[in-house]
Amino acid sequence: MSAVVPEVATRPLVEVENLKKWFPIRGGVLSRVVAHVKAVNDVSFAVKKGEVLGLVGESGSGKTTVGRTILRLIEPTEGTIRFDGVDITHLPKNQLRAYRRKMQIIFQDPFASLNPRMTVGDIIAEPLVIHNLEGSPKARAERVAELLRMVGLNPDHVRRYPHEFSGGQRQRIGIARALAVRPEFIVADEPVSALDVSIQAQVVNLLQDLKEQLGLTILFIAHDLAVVEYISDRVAVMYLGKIMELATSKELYRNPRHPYTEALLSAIPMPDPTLRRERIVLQGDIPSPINPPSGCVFRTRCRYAIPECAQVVPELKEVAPGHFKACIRDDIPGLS
Amino acid sequence: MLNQSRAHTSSQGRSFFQQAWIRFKRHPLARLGAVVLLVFYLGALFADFLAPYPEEKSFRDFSYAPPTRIFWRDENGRLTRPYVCASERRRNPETFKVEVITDCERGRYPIYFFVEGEPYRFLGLIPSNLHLFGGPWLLEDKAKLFLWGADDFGRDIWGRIWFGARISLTIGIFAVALALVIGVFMGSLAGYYAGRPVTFSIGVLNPEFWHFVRANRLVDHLWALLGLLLLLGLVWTMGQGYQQFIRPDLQRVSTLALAGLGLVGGVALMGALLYFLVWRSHLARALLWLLAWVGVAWLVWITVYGFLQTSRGLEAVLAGLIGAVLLGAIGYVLLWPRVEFDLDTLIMRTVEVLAAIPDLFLLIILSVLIPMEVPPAVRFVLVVTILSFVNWGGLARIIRSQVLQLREMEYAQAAQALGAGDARIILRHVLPGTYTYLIVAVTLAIPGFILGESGLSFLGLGIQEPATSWGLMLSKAQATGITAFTERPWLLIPGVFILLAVLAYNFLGDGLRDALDPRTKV
Amino acid sequence: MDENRLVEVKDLEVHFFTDDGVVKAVDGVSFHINKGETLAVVGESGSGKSVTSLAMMRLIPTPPGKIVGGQMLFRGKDGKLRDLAKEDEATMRRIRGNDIAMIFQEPMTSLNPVYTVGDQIAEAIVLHQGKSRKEALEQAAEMLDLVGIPEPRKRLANYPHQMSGGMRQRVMIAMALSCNPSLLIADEPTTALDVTIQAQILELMKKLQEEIGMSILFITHNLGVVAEMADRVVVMYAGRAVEEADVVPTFKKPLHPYTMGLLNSVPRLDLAAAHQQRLEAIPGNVPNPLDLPPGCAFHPRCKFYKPGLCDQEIPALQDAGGGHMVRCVRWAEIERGEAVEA
Repeated sequence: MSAVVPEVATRPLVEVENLKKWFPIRGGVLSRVVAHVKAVNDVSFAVKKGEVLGLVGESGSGKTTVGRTILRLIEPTEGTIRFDGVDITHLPKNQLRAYRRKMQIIFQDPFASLNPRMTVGDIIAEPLVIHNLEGSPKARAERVAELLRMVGLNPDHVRRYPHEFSGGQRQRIGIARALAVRPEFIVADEPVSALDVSIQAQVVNLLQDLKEQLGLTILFIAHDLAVVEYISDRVAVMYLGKIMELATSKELYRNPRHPYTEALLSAIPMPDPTLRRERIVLQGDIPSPINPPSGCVFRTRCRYAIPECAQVVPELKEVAPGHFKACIRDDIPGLS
Repeated sequence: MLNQSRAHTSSQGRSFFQQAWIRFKRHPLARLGAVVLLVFYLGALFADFLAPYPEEKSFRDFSYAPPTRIFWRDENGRLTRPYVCASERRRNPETFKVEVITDCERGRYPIYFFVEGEPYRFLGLIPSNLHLFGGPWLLEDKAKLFLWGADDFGRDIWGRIWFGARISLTIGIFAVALALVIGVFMGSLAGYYAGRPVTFSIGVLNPEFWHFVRANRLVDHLWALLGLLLLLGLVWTMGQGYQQFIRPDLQRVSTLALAGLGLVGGVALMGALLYFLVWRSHLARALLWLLAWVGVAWLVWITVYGFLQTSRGLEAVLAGLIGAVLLGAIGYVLLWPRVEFDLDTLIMRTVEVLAAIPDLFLLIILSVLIPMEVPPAVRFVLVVTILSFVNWGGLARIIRSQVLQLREMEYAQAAQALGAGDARIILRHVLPGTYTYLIVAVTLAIPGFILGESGLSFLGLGIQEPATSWGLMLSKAQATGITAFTERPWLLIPGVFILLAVLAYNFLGDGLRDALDPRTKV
Repeated sequence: MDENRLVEVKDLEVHFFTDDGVVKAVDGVSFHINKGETLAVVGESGSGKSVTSLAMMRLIPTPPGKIVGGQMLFRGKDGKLRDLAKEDEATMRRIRGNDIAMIFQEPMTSLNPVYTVGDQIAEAIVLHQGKSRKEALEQAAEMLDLVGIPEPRKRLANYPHQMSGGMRQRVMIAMALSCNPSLLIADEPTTALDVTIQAQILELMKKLQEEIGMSILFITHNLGVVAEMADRVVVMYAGRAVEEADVVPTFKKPLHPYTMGLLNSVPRLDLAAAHQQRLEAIPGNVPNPLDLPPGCAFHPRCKFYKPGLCDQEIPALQDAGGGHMVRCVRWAEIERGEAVEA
């Protein structure tokens, strides 16, 4: 099967082609591989320089695995990852180090992603130490202070421990750590999901400011479509390890073309009690990624499913300029 | 319920250890434990000063003598300086039992504090003869002063408690320290690399090999070659030492001690060379494997040769054996596609094998290896080594399970994403998280080692008379059976000390655990 | 108490006595729930919303927590009016599960992994209705059918880990409703679920409320869920109710600056056409419960903060008309649009 890399106007910074990640499940006396969790199953996309690509999906969709595989925190099973034109899929550790400076990650849980036994100063300085940047301790301390100011924290707090900060502040520390090495590309893995509503907006605004200031390229992973739609230039919707639809964020909301996106949008409760919408409630649960449905993985819950859906794996194809969807039905009223 | 992030105001600007100290001070039992242990350790340090008699002084006539009665009032019933009376051992005409009879008519001997007595060397260096209590009559042996009675050889239990503390209270610490080093090293390797086989080298004929060799910089290769040469020299030196060591005619205490020191230092140096120089070059790694096999061949050679020096005609067999190993080595390095180890399986199966052999059995086997005529100091070191060798498995298991959990923490992954190497992730991000568990495990293990030592001593395989330890002293109580409880309860005093030390360690560990956890607030 | 009212909470105070001082987790909260109505309590972490719900079940861990003041009047199924704050433990055990039922956020940990779901549902029925085990299991199957679990009889023999998150939450609801309670307390029941599953559970709860007619106390931080489920809303901040109103005025005409800020800080899909340029975040952090700011606890983050006015006394809960309660000294100015942003 040929790679479906959506064409892009500007040069892509990160390209992912036919990415697969199957986690083996071992069992039996000899702990042989008995099955695979097909977390990511043939995913292709590109992130343009300077854009924010949103990646949404429910639990088990494989969105987090995609993010970690791009950073080679998880080794891919198959497929190619290119950064700035260079294939980094199989780079050995010592060469990967150079790319670790260019690609960074912000984690979901601000309580788990900071080492509780290190001071904030040490946490933010660690990447500088690892990559031997800003040589002298004094220069490092200055850089740490600069980073703390950049994310809106008091530089005098370098000697405090993470537990002395609130969730939002800790997430800012995580962002400062990621920015310490002056990366070009950041994977933001559900960076606001664990935060209080009023703090979420602060962190989203901060990310947006930093993106403008530093010219960052971001892969923004979240399950909250509203946040993703708000911050992203383009959005990819994932379901059971596959991309269902990919379009600019405005287009995706105004004019969803995939039945899953349509249902997902309709499922989100709106903070407006006067709004009366007809809701599409998807029946049943998300199938197990160990044994996903044949053909289109969404067909078991799709209200437009036809017998052919079980036969053919739909390709992600361009149905309108810059708008891709993976569905064999082009004839659904309202979705084309 | 209260999952608020409380922060901002409290505990500002205090260092980690200041905060830990504040938290520790809040723990009354832990403070008590610390004070008890401090008293015990000071007592052990100043044992010569506390004891009225030297460690080995015995009075055969006063075997199992009860605590000496100390009088506070003179014959007129007036309060006076405490004194003891002359005593002797004779048969009680009414009960026909041999008893220690005190007879004040034959002499009263006042007890003075900070008096001069038997000379000793404080810390084995500073000559002194100052004692906490006693009197000139002690030196002249006019009366006995057994504060807590005497043991089977008529030795003062009070004094020997403090002499014994020197061994009982330190053996646990040393043994735990050694077991901890082995356990942490093995456990963290096993945990961190569980499910991630470690590739040590790649066969020269494997196309990947040259890919990797080219990926290394030339400087790395050169450094690695230098490292290999140094390594070779080191191994050769250690091998020479080993060759000396295994020759029975040369087996002396000094060689034993030297061999131990050489082994520890050599292994550390080898590790450093490996990590900092050799490991960077894939070429050197392949060479290293070749050398390792040559080394194995050599080891086989000198071991067998050393033992069978007198017999002739074995050389042919040996040469064949070694040739086979060498040939295997070359083939292995050249052709084997990948030298890969699952460190977890390797280490944990070893631990299980060790655990499957009954501890006592293992201890006995190993203790038999200790030569009989070693001085007490060397014996102490060897007992420590044996105890820790038998017991590192438990600590390794604790560490492994913790590491297994902590390596999946997001901050460990964050460090990986930042480009940190395995060593840095283990040392900075994973191991510190195990401290709290380690502290508890260690404080629980120390009493175990104390008891382990006493078990060995009881079997005559640990500390031996005339040196003493609490375990050895307690075994005397056991030797006299139930009468220890009814007629000679003072023999149980060492047991009270073991109990107190064990409890104190547990309280201390509890307090330390709370204090060292930065998440508990101040 | 009004015949129509099921619950009336007056000046509830729950304090936690910690080593570092007293945390006033709930500090003088009053509200009522009418029969058949859904009251949503909204707030961020540390607002005291969950503590309030636990206090109503008298499940506050004591120590360190304690209900130190206030009344919680509740009309039981037997028609008797009780003050839950003062009832003894035996009475509370009868009320829990029977009169008031509760479902939690984490359906994974609120079910016991070593018993089948059938056993767990039947247990409550046997306990409160004195039925035999066989009858109870029969009723359990009916309950599973009611909450939309296919093949309910087969599912009775399943263990919790054999079910998905959404299924487990359905089981929790079945369990909660098995004794026909008059009040269901739902503490963030959909927070751990995926959006499509959340939609299913919300639809289910609405349907069941129509059929059974129980009242719901819905604790959540998700404003979208509130808009969808609630009849009335109580907004909590730092242990106090800051605004209480019917759902439409809460969203359309909020009077408290915190409610306004909360609404503005949520990214809105329905406003995507306008595509706001920037979210209006509430600055600062949720205050430390041990060290609340003086006066109105929200004043350091408030855009209408007036020095000398807001930081002096804790404002009273005032009626802004039509049962719209607000705890802000400047609400009238804000309503008229006269309040100047600081």
